Amino acid sequence: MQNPGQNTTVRLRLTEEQRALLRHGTGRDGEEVELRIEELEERIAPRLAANHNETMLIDA
Amino acid sequence: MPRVGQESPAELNALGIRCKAAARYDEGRALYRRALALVRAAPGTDWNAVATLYHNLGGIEHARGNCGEGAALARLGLAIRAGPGGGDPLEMAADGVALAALLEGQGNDDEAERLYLKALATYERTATADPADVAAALNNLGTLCARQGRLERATGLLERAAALKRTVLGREHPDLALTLNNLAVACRRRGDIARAAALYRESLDILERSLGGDHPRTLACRANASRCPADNGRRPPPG
Repeated sequence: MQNPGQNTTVRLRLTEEQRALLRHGTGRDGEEVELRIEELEERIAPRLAANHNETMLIDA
Repeated sequence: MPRVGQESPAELNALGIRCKAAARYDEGRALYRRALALVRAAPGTDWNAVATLYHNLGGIEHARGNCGEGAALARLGLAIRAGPGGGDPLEMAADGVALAALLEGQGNDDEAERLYLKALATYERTATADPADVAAALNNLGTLCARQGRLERATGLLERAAALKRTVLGREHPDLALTLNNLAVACRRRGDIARAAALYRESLDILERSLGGDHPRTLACRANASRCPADNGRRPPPG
């Protein structure tokens, strides 16, 4: 988890292969992507989903 | 696709949620337990994940009607989430709603209502609240009010829940059908038979298409609908 005071963005340099994928997928060119820490954490270790305990009325 | 036995906790948890939705409760519980063992064994235990898995294990017991056991699991999850520094308010609100449903099952309506209201207040203060979480809290508070005979309030809450679910979950989602069933019960009790009958029809159609005719929710909704007198054009009394 993110620590208080920690830099909130991370820059990742793309490989040639990744740049080609980026061009193919989006038509845009770029050498780096910038992610907020929260976005990065969501990619590396996605939070587990919690279920809902929804209640149902029985019309007795 | 992961090989059997090599799934991640997130994959096992997602499968567990699907098993619960399909009423395959033993499988769901086993999947959550496996995920919990993996999370606990990993270096630097992710306590947030542990809390969610106890929340979900409590959900299995809620679906089975074992509310005492479920409440103990849900309280443990909530305590872990809170931790020494306090947990994420939105996640704690969702934990509180899940626990409240189990408390209702134990007859503890007062604590359940407090938890629903606290969660809804948290959601109202927070722009990033998940609308599906808000809808679940509105649905549950609405059913509690309906059970207690507070039908006007129940109807308003359930209408809000249904409107949110139509928007965020879509018109074919079984969770929308659940709220439509609850709204139908509230309408029937208020004497609005025509609306109740229409809501039951919509709910049953969705449940049969999405969960099948033999799912416990479908069976319960069909039994409710069978107790609703045929639409005879009656309208609720004014006011």
